[in-house]
Amino acid sequence: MSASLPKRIVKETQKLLSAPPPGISATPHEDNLRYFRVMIAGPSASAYEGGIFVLELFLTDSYPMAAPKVRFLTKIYHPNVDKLGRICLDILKDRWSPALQIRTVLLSIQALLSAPNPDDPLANDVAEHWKSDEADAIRTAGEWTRMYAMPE
Amino acid sequence: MDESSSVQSGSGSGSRSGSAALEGDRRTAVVVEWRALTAEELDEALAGKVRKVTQVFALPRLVALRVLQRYRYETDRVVEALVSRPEAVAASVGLTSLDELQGAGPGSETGPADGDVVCGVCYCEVAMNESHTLRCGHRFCYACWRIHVEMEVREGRAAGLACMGSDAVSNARCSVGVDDFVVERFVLGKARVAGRYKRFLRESYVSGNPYIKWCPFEGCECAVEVDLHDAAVSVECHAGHLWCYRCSHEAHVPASCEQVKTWLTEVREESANDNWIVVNTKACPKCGVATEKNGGCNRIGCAKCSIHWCWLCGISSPTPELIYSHGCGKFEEEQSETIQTRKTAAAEMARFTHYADRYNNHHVSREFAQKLAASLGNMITSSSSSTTGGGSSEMRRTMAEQLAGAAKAHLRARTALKWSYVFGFYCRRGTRQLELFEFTQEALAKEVEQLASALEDDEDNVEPADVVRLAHLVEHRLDGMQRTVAEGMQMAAESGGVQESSEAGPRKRRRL
Repeated sequence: MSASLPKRIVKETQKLLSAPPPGISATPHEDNLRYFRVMIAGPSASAYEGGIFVLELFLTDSYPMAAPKVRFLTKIYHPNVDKLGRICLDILKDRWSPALQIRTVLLSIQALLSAPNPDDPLANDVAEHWKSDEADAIRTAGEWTRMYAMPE
Repeated sequence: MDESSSVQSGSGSGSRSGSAALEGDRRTAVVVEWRALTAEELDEALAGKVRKVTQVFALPRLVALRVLQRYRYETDRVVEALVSRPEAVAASVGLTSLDELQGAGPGSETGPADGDVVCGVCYCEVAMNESHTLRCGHRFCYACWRIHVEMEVREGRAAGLACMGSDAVSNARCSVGVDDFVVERFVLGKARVAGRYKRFLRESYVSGNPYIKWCPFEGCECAVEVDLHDAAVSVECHAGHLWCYRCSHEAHVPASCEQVKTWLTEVREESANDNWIVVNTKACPKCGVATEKNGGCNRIGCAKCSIHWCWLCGISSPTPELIYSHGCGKFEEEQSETIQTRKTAAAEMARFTHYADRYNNHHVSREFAQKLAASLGNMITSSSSSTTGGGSSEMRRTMAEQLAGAAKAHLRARTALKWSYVFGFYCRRGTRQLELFEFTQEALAKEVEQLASALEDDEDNVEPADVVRLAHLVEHRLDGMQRTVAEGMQMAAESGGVQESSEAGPRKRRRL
């Protein structure tokens, strides 16, 4: 597979390594250049500030015609992320365009951390919490960040 | 076609089209025109509509299709709207002006022959003339266009084929629909993709068009077009399936769509079973469990609550002795009531069984009739393609056609007979019309049996003249039955009887 890595993936990887977006790093696995280990720093002034969130990103054979598969590995308390780390984000589903990139996807996920969207939830109980008592939900998210997303 | 007759025309001939008086609407004698369509004819009809719109207004094909879809494929309305209020038409498909509809824009063409360009998807450098952009200016190479288009068609998004680009700031997907260049080069250029694409458009053409419906028979890909929306008319598709346009059920004259629905629910709910319980069982006076007397004396020992009771009068006791010793031969008023209930239920049950038996009987025979009609239909084709026999091949073909025509008449009559028992079941008892109807029904049943046995004779013994004569007889009788039903309905309506009105309000008619 890596023998015939499409030019597009090579170029995107090079750019991600040489000029990563602020607060984001993405490194391809040495055995599989379509599999990336991603780290996103919790945005400042959010419940996730100070945390480092690890994600996995996989480019299927259909990429870029189909969106990359992305998932949180670090536990996170967020209305658009479920227990398994799956993310509810339109550009990862029906609003994907082949002109979007790994970079845009990761920036969108970072933006989702800054601005959770409880009206389009993936984790219903979390979204309910968010809508009924936002301050308390943010407090829980902060606790989870300290518990799971901060190195010892 | 004679308006007073409600039997479809086109019997025996190769053409599948016809007209029929509308059921339940006989006072005004509305005649509905219909015709059968093959997949190819559907494609042609759709292509014709698209051509009309694209030629006059220079719209890209897919834009024309989306506009037609919005206007329920009524070409005249689309043309009129494009002339008088193009902005409204544009708005209906998410655009703002006629210019946008026509796909005009800065980069709406394939680039100049010289120079290289980087494809926005694969990031490869390609020659300008190997790339394409829509009016939005997002430019991609041919290879990426092809992959994109094939994938969208495969996923059933043919009508929404759009640009691959996205907005640099909002990441929103570009919504500019593809132009004819893309359709011609990447969709129609490859047979497999073109096939899926056409199939998809055909399906949205039929589903978005109230004047066309798919044949409801399993696996059939034919359709029928009518000139009156929602007409309760018996139609026949190219595969020889007979069905009702309104309810998409097997053709069911003389029964109405509503009667068919009620009947099928009734049969399905096995109301017969409930009735059996009422007729043949009694409830235990203590626990109420339905009990069947399976022989022996009148003392019943309840298997559920273990009480003892008398089958005749219902008196109960914890021990058997009292039941054995009591007398209940005396007739009492209350008792006679329960007997009456049981008798009524038994009569109702017997009536239902009578009609259901005949319905089932003709239902089974109808299946055979369907197969026979199909196989005799195929014989025409094989007899015309066979080259052996020289001069007699013409004769063989004529004979095959006659037999096939008779088999079709047989199928039609068999279907009508089946549903005539449903119609009869729901008829008011004891009227002159019902008597007349049942007389015709019985005569038809006999004649259909004769026709069936003549058709099913060994190939060598078949007398085509006989078969044709019997088929004529059957068709004539069928006509008569329809007329009886129509007249009966009319009389009932005139005498103020409540008629189910199958539809309300004026309906739109459309030229076929």
